[in-house]
Amino acid sequence: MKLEDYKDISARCSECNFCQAVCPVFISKGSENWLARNRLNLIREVLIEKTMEPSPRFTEILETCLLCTGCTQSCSSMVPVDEIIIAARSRMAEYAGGVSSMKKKLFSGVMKNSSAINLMVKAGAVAQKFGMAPGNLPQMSSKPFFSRRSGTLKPDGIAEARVAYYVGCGTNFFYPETGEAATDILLKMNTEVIIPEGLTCCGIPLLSEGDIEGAAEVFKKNIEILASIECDKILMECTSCIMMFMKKGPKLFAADDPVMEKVKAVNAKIENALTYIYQKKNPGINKKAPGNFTCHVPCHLNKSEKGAGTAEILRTLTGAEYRELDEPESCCGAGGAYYMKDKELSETIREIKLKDIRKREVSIVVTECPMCRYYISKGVPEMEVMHPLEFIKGSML
Amino acid sequence: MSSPGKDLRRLLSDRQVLDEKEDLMAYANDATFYLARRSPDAVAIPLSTEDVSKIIRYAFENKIPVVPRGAGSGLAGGCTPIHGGIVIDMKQMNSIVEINRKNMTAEVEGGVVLDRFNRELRKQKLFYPPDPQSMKVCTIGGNVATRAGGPRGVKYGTTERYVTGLEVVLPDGSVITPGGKVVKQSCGYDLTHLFTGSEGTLGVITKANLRLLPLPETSTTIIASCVSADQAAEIVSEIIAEGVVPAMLEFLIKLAVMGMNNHIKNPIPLSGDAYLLMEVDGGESQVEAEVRKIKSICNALGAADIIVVNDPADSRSYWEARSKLYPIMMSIFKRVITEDVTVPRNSIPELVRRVQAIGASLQIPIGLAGHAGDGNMHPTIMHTEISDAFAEKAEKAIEQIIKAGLELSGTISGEHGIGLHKNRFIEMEHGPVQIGLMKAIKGVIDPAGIMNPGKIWHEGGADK
Repeated sequence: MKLEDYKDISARCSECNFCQAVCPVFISKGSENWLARNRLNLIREVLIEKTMEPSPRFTEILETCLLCTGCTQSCSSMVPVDEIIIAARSRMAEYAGGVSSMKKKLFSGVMKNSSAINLMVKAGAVAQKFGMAPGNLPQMSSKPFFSRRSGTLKPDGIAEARVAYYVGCGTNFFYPETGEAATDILLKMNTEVIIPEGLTCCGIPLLSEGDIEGAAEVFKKNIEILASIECDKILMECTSCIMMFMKKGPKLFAADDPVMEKVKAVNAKIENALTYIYQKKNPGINKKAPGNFTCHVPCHLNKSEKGAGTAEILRTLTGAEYRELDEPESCCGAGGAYYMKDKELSETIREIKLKDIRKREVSIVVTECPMCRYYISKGVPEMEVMHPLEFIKGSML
Repeated sequence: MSSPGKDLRRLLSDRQVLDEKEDLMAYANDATFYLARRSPDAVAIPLSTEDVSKIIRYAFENKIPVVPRGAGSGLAGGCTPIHGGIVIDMKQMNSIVEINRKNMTAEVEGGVVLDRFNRELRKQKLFYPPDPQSMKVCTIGGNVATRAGGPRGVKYGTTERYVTGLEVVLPDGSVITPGGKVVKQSCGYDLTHLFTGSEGTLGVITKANLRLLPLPETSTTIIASCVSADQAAEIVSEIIAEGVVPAMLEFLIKLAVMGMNNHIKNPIPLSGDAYLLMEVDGGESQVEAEVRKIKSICNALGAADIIVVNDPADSRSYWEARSKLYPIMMSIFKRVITEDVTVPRNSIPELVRRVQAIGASLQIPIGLAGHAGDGNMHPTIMHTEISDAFAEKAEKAIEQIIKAGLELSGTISGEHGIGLHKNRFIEMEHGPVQIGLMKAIKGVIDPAGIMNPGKIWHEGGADK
């Protein structure tokens, strides 16, 4: 949707200011200029009504949003704030010399490249371009998941089900052990696992930079491939990928666009890998608690219907002791790769999370999102941070 | 050239001052953007009472308007800086100074968010009842300044009942501390309660001493589905008359419940035209007895359906949806203006009839939701369009609703305050003598008229 198309939707904002309760930027900075309500009003005045100039301060306010979707998810007037911000960033990219325009070029070249092996090399270059010190990104695995496992994986026994596994970029490049846990467990459950070829990044990083066209392009490509595969379910392990497929991607196309048939078919099959495993397998096979744990709920999982109740699933499957955070759903500050743009803000947001985590005195922090995982792990080196699939692996095999 | 922003930067640190227009826009209004929008000239963010003093002394010396602001979630335009000047954003003064279990009191800074305060109290099985529906974000300072309340008003009253003392920065920068930690006091004029409800027109509330209660042992939610608004109103009257005091007794029309249902996992069955959402709390046997009594009253008066909610998660989701009713209605209508008339409880059925008649005669939808248990209804003008014609009808409706409330011996505001929204009606309620007295008091405390001008009555200042 074009920015102008959001005008009426944006006007639903009652200006109640209830988003103060959830916005990590507001919570960290403390003043209302950083709030969704001000962003919406500024976008209207600067980019739609054009009563104000697109000043550097406007750009700063527009850019200082982690797209955590906290405001969108909690908004009772149902204003899709994150989508409006993305549309505005996209518009800003059209202004010559805008920060967004430079980043757009850098990122889209990287993300759309389906031979994504060199993705991290390029991403590292992007990071340097923005003056970030090395070590700002997770250690790239010397052997990405794609070169560890590919094609169709057959279980030892007779296959009872056949699933396609969409491997997120985080799993592929940084944490291949997540993908190994997923496939090991599925194979043990006599499930045939297809790892389709040619899939690429889900498109979320492109969207967050305002590259709507680029995001639509990769989304469509992924949909075409997934739609062509005969399988019972399509499993994913990254919460941001799930959000992209289920919620954000479909909105990039008109309802009557021919691709939408395929989108519906694919989305009907998408399932959070953890939920799928939990529903298929009787819990308590071999309860091996890896240690007491707490859960950080990634922003993009928050209210997604495809994966609530992670902690409860883990407790049931492993018998481990769960210690709940005061604010399990509050943002960790990573915001995908946002932490590279605004170190100070991200660290302020993270510190709130880390305090909460440290109070639990657990040995393991579980979270679905690879970026949250990396960013939290940097703050609590004394703890292990892992994906839920790795956490249950010992109990499931 | 000197400007408030530059001057304030000399008094405070750089981070405590905002004066770029993109930042100031965020402070141009509260939740009633349709009443007025005006950016301030600067926003000051104090971290201490001393900071507030400095800011106000500067404003006093330079005759610059000062508008204190909590979360900016008010529903009367109280913190909208209609004359520009300096907005004092109190949200960073947010420490809970003391929770005194042995005295059952607390001392908090003005910027403490109500929800956070209650979460801290709950850890000690304590309870601070006032529950304005913006509780997730609203501040104690704002609550005190407007005497804010919510559904619990029926049993527990609103904010002013819990304020035992304040720290206030006066319009010349001096600091007073009327009242204190004692739960009773008979010592001269009650200045504590003069500043309570003063809507920022007399000074800035920097701290409050609050009375606490023990957390109720248990609670149960009941939903009565009624065949008509009249019937629901009759049931409310009967419950009060029978001596049952629910902790919350909310009146909702079907449309409100339909909106809420979009945000609830187990939706409320839509079997009636009006609904009563109730909670009783207390000891277990007391709660059981009151639930029985309410059920039998509802049955006797012919309610369509009575649901006793057993799952606490469901209860929570109903009350949470209720707290979001205002923004929920904005997802359905183009604009929503919420009235705040409060009448004696026995007049609720009559008020309901009159509001319905007003809607019918002007041919505009007026929703009825409110804290019926304490007589505080929120007739809501639901705009199906944004047009001059509709605005004119809405104006008429507001005036007629207010008149109806006053004719029934009610008040024009139970908990939102007057702000901008009802300043033209206040004399109808209090008459010229009382208004004269109020203005005289204002003139003594704020002779320069810098504190939140234009609020409560039409033009602020000493005696305009």
